[in-house]
Amino acid sequence: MPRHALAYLLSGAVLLALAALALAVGRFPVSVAELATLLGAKLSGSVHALEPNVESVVFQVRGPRVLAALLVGAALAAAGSAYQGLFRNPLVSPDILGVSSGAALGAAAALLFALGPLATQALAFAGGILAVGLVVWIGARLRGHDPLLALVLTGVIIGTLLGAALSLLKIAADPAGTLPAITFWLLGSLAAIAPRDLAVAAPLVLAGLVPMLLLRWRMNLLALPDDEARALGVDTRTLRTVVIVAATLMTAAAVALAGVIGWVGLLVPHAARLLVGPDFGRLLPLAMMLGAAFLLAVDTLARTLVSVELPPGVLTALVGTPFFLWLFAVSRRSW
Amino acid sequence: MSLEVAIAKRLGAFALEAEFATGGRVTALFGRSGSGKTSVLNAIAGLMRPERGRIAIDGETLFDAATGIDVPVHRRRLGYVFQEGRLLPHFTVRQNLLYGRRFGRRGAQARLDDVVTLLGLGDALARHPQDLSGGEKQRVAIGRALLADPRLLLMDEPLASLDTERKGEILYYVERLRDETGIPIVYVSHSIDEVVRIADTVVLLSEGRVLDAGPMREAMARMELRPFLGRFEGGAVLEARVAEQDLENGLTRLEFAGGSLYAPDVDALIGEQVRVRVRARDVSLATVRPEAISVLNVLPGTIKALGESIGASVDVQIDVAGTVLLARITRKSVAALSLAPGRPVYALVKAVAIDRHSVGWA
Repeated sequence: MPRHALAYLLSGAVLLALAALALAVGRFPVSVAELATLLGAKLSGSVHALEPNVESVVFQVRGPRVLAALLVGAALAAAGSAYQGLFRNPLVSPDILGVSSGAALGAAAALLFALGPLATQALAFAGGILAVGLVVWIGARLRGHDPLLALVLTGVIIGTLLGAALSLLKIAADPAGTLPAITFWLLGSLAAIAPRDLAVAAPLVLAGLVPMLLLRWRMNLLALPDDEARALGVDTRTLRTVVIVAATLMTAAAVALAGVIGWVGLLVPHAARLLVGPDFGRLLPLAMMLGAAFLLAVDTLARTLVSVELPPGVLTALVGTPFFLWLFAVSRRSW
Repeated sequence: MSLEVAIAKRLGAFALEAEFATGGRVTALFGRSGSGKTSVLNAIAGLMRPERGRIAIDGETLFDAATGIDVPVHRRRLGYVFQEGRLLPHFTVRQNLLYGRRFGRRGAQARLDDVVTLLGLGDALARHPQDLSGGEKQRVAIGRALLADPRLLLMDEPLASLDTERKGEILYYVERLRDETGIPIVYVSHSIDEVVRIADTVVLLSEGRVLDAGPMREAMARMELRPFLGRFEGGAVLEARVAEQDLENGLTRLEFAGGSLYAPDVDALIGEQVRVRVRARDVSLATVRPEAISVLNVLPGTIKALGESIGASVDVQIDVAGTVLLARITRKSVAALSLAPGRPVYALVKAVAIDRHSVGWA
């Protein structure tokens, strides 16, 4: 079996097992047998003999959360893969390019004025695209520097600036109402996600995914110097614009849904690349599966490890930092 | 194919102001480094935008500053072979080649098999770029450009990063390309050997301007009288036929309009047409036929013209039965032998002075 098929198969199996585990564990344990009965009954439309509590835990409490983790993880990993391929740069990710900060600023503004989920998404996207636009624009104008370094540093600087703007926004927030909401949401959480939020975010993620899948083949040519890619018939400017918009849309949707959860977009594409190589067409599906599995595992740990719920961003950083350092040490610069 | 270029652009202190038209199969943009050759090529490709002027292929305008036409690179349908073409490192040769085809026009796609055969890449298809020699990589880059079905192939010093042996290898394939595909080529080079071997039209560039443009042999003959080429570059190009291979002595006898020319070990079959470049500094003159001399080639002719003297030397054009040879000799010798136009002389060419880089397929 080819290596990539094996990687898909294993990741798919792990993903399914993790989903079952995530639905089963928690303060109110549900056994695998109960889960199977429940799903079987739901699919066939028949009546089951389980307590109503079981059904509500699985479908109302844990179900949306599991779906959110899968969606956010997949979106962040896909966006990270796209940014890394686009900038020929292993260090970029939605966090480092300032996209997450921009999207967070937009979404926080929406929370401040108590706008609905659709407006939150729109503002998050606007903030994200503004941030990445600024970073790319400034980074390209810092001549005389290593372009890779210029991009990363500009991203960090713009991210810091947007962070300051966010602090300003928090000052303006009502300490009894919107401030804690913004603060907790910023920490990153999948706890309070309603099916309504999912219904808004999922189509947006999908809308970002479609152009990436269609352009997966041309994405590979961006590994060549710009002139060569253009001479081979690729309209690199349009390609870059489309992919940046698509990746930013996915990131913004994820951030508006679950707050800032770092490291997924940086870490997962690397792991996927080690498994199937840098061909974007093969990389993208695997990165999405691994991203979904990773965030689901992290979120399940976050809510079961200790009696208080931990923000998943804390855990991703805890797992992500050493793993990334290790990856960086062993992986060669090819993507 | 007809290509018309008339462009101007300032690049810092350098002003490019180039105008020429060519209908050649292989047009060489020839000049020293910094003469603006690559800038002209990039303007044709669309990678550099001129400030003024116009570029057209077969009457189709690709760029016109006056009307604002600027066909984007990816729509110009040109193939570009870079000095050091980069391949996609994680893909095999076959995949790298097919990347070129994907962007070509449908229907008119050159077939992979043909290109693989033409460039001798059959054994390399399953390999990865890191396992290829420099010459093989460049052949894959050429194949990739060809499979995009270009109407014009642009080559920017494709041999620059290769060692001497690989240069010969690639030149051989460029010659096949020229003779077998019919795709016109614009070839940037600062090496007169390459130009002579493959080009039929030459555009001579210096400091951003076109000094001369025209059919290769005529342009070269005019060029030879210019100090431009430097002290030891001048020479004449002969079209010759392989008449005899003297395997014992390792010599080849070539026949041209003016007689026979011996050269060491020309790698060609009897009857094949070759081009030979005879450098001016390798030609001596005598007013009487020399006896007991090691020089194998003694060609009778008459002096056609004397060039301007450059320092101590003068370039002399000698008509050898219709073929013009050039000899670079000292002013002192011109005076001592009383050389003047119309005077019969013998042109002496050492066979060993004609090395393998001086010979190419016509």
